[in-house]
Amino acid sequence: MIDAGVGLSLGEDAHLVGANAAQDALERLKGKKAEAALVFASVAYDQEKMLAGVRSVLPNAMVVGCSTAGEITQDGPAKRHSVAVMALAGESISFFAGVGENIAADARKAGAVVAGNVKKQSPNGKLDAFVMLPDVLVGNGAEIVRGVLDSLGAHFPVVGGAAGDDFEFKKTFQYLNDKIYSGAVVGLGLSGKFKMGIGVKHGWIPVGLPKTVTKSTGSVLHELDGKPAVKIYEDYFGAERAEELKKEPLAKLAITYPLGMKVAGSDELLIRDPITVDANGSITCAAEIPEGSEIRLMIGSREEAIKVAKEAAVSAVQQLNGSAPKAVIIFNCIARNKLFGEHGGEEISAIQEAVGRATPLIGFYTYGEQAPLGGEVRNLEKCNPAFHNETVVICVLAD
Amino acid sequence: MVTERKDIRHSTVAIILFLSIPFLLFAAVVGTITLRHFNEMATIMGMTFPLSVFTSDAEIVIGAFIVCLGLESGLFIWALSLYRTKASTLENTAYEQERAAVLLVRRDMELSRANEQLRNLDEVKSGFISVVAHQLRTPLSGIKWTLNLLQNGDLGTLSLEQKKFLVKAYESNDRMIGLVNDLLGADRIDSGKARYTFIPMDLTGAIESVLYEIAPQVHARELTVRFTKPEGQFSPVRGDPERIRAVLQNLVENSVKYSRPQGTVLITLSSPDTETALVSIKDNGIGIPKDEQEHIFSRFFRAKNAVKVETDGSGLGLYIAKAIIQRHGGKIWFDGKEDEGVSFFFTLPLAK
Repeated sequence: MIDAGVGLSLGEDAHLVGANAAQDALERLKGKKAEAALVFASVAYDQEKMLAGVRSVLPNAMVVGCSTAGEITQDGPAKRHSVAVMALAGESISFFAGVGENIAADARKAGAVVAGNVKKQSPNGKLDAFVMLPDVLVGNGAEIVRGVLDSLGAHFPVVGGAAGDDFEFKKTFQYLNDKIYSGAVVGLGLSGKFKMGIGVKHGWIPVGLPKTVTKSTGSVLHELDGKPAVKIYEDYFGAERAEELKKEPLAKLAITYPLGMKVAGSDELLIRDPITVDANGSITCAAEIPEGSEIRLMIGSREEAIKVAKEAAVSAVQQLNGSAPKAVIIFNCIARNKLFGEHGGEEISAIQEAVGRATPLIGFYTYGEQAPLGGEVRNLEKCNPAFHNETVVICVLAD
Repeated sequence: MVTERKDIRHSTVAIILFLSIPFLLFAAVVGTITLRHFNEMATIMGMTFPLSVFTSDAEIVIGAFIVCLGLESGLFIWALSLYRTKASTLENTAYEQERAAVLLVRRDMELSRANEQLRNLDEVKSGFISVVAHQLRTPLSGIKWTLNLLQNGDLGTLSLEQKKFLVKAYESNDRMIGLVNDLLGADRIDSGKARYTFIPMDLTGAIESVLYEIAPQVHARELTVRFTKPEGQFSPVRGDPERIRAVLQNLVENSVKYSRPQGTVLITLSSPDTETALVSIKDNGIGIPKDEQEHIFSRFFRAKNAVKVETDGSGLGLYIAKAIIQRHGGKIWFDGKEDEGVSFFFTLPLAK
């Protein structure tokens, strides 16, 4: 039996807000002992104090979490800076948590380390699902996922979201029990008897003509059609805005106009978020774009985004084979928050139509999402976790 | 895009068909020669063959080849020019499409930016209201306290005339405190600062207590108020008692305020299913004009006919009520026509 309770708290005092959110989450567990907790918080709070507040209420739970670009609960996206906590309990399910540090030095290794750390805590060395929360401002997100899969197996069900910092793109934080990390990836392993369904969709539409990647290294895109990569944005945005591209982080302007990459075997383009641009006009993306890829500029529509969010939720629930959802975790791209503006609640509401309004729900606006392609977790041979952008990932847990 | 793709497909098929015509002709000629050979074979073998055509192979083959080659070249040149026209049309379309895409992106950016600015402005406005409301509350409480002292005669005996005006001042001040409290309530909702405590609560008791408090106004307007509830103990709902009370008070007060003298207000409590409580508050008052119905739960909105009846009002009551009910996981809606009264309904989850 899985049980979950979610608390959300706002205010100024970091310790108090952390404690309040944890307290509310715990109260909604109806007297059960919290085995694990997910903590998502704004960088506006002193991270140490906030986490200490959470720990003052949940001293013995496995706590993992990260800073975000906006917290989400069953009441919708939080309007201002907040702390959201989901407390998890379950007799037939065990939780293990760990960290992999120094993504900047070796992203793949950090991924392998976090998964290895978590796996070895499981008494029989067996895990059934893995939730990861990486920092992708310092390294290639796709490499971190690859590292995790190196350790857990290529077809292991992995979901997660990259930490955020309220749309500043400067520094994100990861939490593990009492400690605050940055430039790291934390993970929560689940083992035991439970069901999991995952929905993954983006719904962005390509505009304009395709361009070919003529030079790239990993997640750094140097040239498109032989010209500096940033030219694609200068052309589309116009001279006025192009000047701003040099002053502001590229992501701030371009996040709602990501790049779509054609991948073999799929009609839908795989999305890559532009994060920063350097003096040579090279764009660093949230994950790699191989040379020779054909890419296009993408644009969002609220109607389409709501439609696919609901479809993703429906498909996640279908994977439960009739069991009722007990807890919902959403990893939703920050770009979708920007796309929806004040209407962010509509997307969450559409998801709740499928998962149930009363089901405890937590999530956050991310800088990148991790999930199996197409959300496939039932047929593990076809479960291929990847690094996504601009996507909504819905993870539903049930008995 | 799709029709263009179809176009390309169609013209490709047409070109292939045209280009294959000479080959078909050539094949026909070769075919007839083969037939003649069969004929000769048949004669040699002493069998009869009905066809007797063409006599010189080489001449015919070469002749046919030259004719077909000429035809093929002609067709090829024609197909090439067709292809060129198509290609240039496509190129133009692609160019136009790219231009449209640039326009679309730039317009989208402009709109997003304008939207963002509006949001910021709205936040500034909310902040302003919040500050003003907070700042007003203290002096208003001060006035209330002072008026109280005066009224009670603590500062000396008052004439009847003075007392009458003090009562008016006191009432006006109280209304102002009410408005400021509405502003603060809405601010707490907007900022998400409102903290709720959900406990099993008795809805019947809450309704009865609101009705008791409003009795003087009901009496003054000679209204009939009826409260219908199911027999026996009504299951408790899961709610924040103080806030649910505020919702009830707001809805009942509205129906009393906007009822005509000697009108009727009907309140019913029921349970449409095992998980929900449903409250309805029905009056036969002035109702809500049709063209204003969609705004009724918006911030600072007051219907035209309501303003005529009752000049005071923050236009926040229903906005707050809706936020509270939604926060409880319930729904709130209404039904009715202008001049024929209105029924408000809301649901709350029953406590398990």
